[in-house]
Amino acid sequence: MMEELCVWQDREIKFDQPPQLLRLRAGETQIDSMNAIEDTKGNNGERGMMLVTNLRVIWTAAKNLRTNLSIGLNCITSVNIRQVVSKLKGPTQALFLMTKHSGTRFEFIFTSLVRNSPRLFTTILAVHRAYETSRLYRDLKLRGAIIQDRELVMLPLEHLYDKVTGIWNLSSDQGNLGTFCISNVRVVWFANLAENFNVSVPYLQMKSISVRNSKFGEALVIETTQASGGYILGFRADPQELLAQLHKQISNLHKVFSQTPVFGVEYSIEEKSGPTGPKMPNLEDDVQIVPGEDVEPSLLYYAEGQKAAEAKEPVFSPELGLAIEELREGATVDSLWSVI
Amino acid sequence: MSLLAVREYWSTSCGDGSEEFDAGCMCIANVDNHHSGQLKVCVGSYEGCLRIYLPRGRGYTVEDLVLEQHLDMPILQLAAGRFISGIRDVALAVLHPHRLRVYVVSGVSGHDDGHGHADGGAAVSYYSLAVAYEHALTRPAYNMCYGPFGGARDRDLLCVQSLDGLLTFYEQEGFGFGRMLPASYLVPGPLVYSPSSDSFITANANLHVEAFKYSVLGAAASADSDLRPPGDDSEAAERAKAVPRKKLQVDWSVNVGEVVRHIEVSRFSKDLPSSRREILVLGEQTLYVLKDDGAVLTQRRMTEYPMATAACYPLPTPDDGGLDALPVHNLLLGTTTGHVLVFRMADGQLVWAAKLPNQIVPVQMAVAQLGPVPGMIVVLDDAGQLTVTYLGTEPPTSALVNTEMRQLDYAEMEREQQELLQIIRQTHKAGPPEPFDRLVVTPRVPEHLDQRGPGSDEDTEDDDTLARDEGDLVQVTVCVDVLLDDPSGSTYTDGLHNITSSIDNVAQDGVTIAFKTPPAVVPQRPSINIRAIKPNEPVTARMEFRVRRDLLVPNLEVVVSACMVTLRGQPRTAVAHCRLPFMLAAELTQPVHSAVYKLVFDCPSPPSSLLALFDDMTYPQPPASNGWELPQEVQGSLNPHIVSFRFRGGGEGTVLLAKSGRIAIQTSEFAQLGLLLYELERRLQNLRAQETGSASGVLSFRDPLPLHDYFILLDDHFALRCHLRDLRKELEDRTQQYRAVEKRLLVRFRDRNPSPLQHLDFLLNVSYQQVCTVCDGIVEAEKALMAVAQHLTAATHLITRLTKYRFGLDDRTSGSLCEAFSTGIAIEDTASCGWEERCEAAMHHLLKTCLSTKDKERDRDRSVGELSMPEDVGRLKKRITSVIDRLSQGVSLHSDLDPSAPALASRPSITHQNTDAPSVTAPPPSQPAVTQQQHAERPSDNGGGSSSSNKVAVSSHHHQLPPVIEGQDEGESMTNGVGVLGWEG
Repeated sequence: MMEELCVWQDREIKFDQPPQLLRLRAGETQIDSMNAIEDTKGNNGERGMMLVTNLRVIWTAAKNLRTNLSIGLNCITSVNIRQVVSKLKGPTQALFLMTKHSGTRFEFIFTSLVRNSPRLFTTILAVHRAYETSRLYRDLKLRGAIIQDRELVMLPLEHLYDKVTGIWNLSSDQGNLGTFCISNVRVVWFANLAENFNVSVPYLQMKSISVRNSKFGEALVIETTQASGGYILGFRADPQELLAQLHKQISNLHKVFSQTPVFGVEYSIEEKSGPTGPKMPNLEDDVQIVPGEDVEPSLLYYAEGQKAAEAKEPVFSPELGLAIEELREGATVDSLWSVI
Repeated sequence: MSLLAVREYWSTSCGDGSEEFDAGCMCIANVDNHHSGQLKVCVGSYEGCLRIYLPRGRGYTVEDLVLEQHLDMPILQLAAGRFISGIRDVALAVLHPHRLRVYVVSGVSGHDDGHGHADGGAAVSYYSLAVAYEHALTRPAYNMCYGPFGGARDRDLLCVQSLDGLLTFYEQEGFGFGRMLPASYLVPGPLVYSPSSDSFITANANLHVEAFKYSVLGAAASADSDLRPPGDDSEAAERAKAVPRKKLQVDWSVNVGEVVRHIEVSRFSKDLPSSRREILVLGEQTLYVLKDDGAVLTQRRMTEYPMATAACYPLPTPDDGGLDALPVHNLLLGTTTGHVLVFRMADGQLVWAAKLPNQIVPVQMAVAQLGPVPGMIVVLDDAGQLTVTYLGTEPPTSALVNTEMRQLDYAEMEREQQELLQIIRQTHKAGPPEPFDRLVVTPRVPEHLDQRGPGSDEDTEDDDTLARDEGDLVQVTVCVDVLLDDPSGSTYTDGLHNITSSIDNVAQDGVTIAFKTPPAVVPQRPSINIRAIKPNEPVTARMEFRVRRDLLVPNLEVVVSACMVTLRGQPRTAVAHCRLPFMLAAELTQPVHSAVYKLVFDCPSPPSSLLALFDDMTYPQPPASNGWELPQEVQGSLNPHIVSFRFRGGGEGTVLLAKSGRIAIQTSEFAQLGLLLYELERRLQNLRAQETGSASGVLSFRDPLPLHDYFILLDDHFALRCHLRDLRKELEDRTQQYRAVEKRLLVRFRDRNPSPLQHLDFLLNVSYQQVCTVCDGIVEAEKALMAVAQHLTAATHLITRLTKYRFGLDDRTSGSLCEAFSTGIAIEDTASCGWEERCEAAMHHLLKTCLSTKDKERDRDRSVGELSMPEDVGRLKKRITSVIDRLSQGVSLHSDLDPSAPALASRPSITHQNTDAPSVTAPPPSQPAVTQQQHAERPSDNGGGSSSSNKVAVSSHHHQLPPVIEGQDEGESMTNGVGVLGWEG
């Protein structure tokens, strides 16, 4: 069995976590850190420090390290710059992060308290963009435009280790003959006859790699994580030794990747201000605070000002000719509209 | 605006935010002609990536992307229609800037070699994209439309509009014709085909919406031969050019007056015949609905909604509509604020509005059945966010209020601000807090004179103005204790630094002790420097004081000041006052009964004996005596009711104690009254303080103030100043004359052939003599001025004390009065500023402010201009008289400062400043105004003992010579020799 490579940093939004959870994980690098950033939405009037890594945005209040936010870049749906009123700075431009995490939308507003400093905007916009455009490093992709002229389109940080022909994909009832491309980031299979028919599995999304028996005989089975759909991909290779070798190779590469993950988010600050910039304060304590009467911090950040109620299934409304959410008992479209 | 939200059903980001999309980039159709009729969403980006999505249910999964292919050319528009001849299947037309391609999209199940189309229940493994045909475009394309042009059956023709307004028609695989739109089509507009009228509707740069019949376009086509696709022979083009162009006829034209964003053909009216259509035109601010003959049906301004895009969608047909009943459309409007509005176009009502999630601003919207429910709204924004939504109906629950829990702690902020302000104030105003170490000066004055003897004679031999008694110096030695008081070794903060060691605080250059005395009192040295001083170890310095014979002693006050600089560079100073013994200024003598000036006081508790009062003057008997003894004759004439003194500077003073308790003082000179009163008052106060503990109210004075004598002194002082000024002016002239003569002389001496001197040498000599004479005169005049100044000082002090006793002023008022008269230790005059102008300004100020009779005058500008020597002292005298007059009326000098002080009765409004103060309405005791004129005539209201009081007014006979400067001391006169005042002491 292999240990699962658990990378939650870019996939989750966490509030007020113990400081050890804010430590950078392996492969996570600090891109920028900024002092004097106000969390205008949740902690208006408090200055804090913002740390931008290749996986997430971390904000920590200056007064209390336990007041913090960890926003995974994957959760960010849009980044905007708008006018806000900050208690520390008055009317000013602020960074709006619209995020979505497990079905709930959160809105974050950050204000840079440094006068005329666009660094907050430029860094986060650029890092978010770098993250968005490097999804192939981290996400399972089916039928993508990743093959051109029967060659894998390489990613910037990718090194191709092996290319194995004659691999059968067992995803449907019958097999499809295709080619394996094994790199330091992922394993790609594509059909020989159709470039469109392909799958790209980053090591990051592999839950297990095993050799199992199938109706086609011994097969290499790659199981993907629940987050990427929990697919089971089967591949057959002849002869048996090749299969075993592939299994060993992919397992080892996965192990290497687990130690030194490549997340693919590349960003460099052009003008380096200061020698290295302030580091994350190394103040840590292992006191666990039992949650008390405090308001759940996530309540402060709902984009619609409330937790979205569980959306009901859509039904067709003949009056509007559109799909609407299932109406409550006794309510009609007209009655609901006339209230407003 | 909207309380209702749009619910997200399915969402993905095409192109990870790095690609761009606009209207036309999305097309929803069953492009792979799947037997189930499942609709797919095709999205093409300007970056040239074509993606086809098949939303299967709530939420996006990786499998929903069924095809992703780079087409290597920007995708301007997608369209799905029956574009392939002979096949009724739907194909996908993709418009690139220079290509029009038609693709066949097919799903491939993985069980054969990849070419077999998915059929039956076989799952589709992947989708293939095959080019059916392509057209090269001669001009860069803008948009396209398709439809059964010209009544084509079961097939769709394509029409591409180029950026410069060329319409090119393609009959499937074949080229149809091209037709240039009129010149008004500078900028291409939206293009749609209306099947009911078989015409193309578009908008031009004249802000008109125009329709062209397909048949008209076709008929004119032959004229536009230059618009053939490349590859046609140029000869035909040449020929065609010769044919005159037929003018393109517009079917109809409507002026909409706005840039048109979107045109759509639909049916809004319920009773519209099935063959007719209506045309929706979306401008920037206005919605139009046109009939298909161009008539405007509805016009609606939508200023409150910044419109972004629109989509018409069909309503379900009523069941009784019959087979050929066509559906009525509703309108979906997307705004730039991220809202979706639903209009029922049959009556133009807004029937729904909701906010899109995530503030999406749609560039294209569509209504389609994706998933199990029809009527889903598909929204695409410019960054490629593709969202399938439906309208939410749950009204929002109460929103969490954020403000209350993160409220700022204003109390804390206030406290912090106060703290900071205090620091700022301290730093700016008061400076840092007082340091703990300080300098303490304690002078110790002996009661008696120093030991008689020539001991300390060595440094005074050349000075013969000092008072001596039988050759021995009359002097008093004052010991001054200096202590650097430092909390030993303790750490303290001086605001910036922590100072730990007291060693730091030893002085840099020791401590300097300086003395300020009246000119008549002379310290042996002007200052003492103590080199070594250690913290908390007192050091004693000694200083001998002598008096001058040639100057009047106005008082015996000495100000002792000590200063040092610590090693840290911080200055430390200390000041102490002391009073020298009266013996220094006068000695007892035989009673003198005659006197020129006399003042009589009432004494509520008179001393039993004057000898007791002046007990220190009667020297102790030997051996305790320090060498000083009273002469035998004085010893014998001691009388408890009369004590006389001889002042060291000359003249006598006598204190008389009447049986009625009155005390009279009389002197040979007016100013000496001041010193005598000063000493008497002090001694009475001491006595009173010993007896009752209170030192106030020892004397009262009821006679008129001797202002006349005072003013004579003042005149003398001023005349001397004028004289000195004139002398200085003359010195200026003389020196100028001397320099002029000298210059001429030098010129002559320098000359090679000297001309005769013409008595210039004599002139120079005379000038020099004159300068010397004037300088001597100035020295003399300055001496004289100083002498008169001492008299004036004493007299001024006398006047202020008398004013106090006369009108019963409190200590504070009399103190202010002294300040106004600017009597310090002694009156000092400099060339630039003299006493007269200072005093006049102060009097003026008093009269304008607290002594003013008019309320409004108090608020006037109180600033005094530059002080300059007045022309005469008449105004000063008048002002002094006025001030005393006011004071006699009971006006307090502090009515505006101290509300509790009694105010003038006639102006009760003064007291309004403090409502706590009792409203003073009782008039003050009526006091007759004391003026100089009344002075002489006023009958004495005193008893017999004061019969000589009037003499004060009339006895100044020898002073009535203002133009002539006169010596002040008895028997001393000034001689006016060579224009210079001589002072013979």
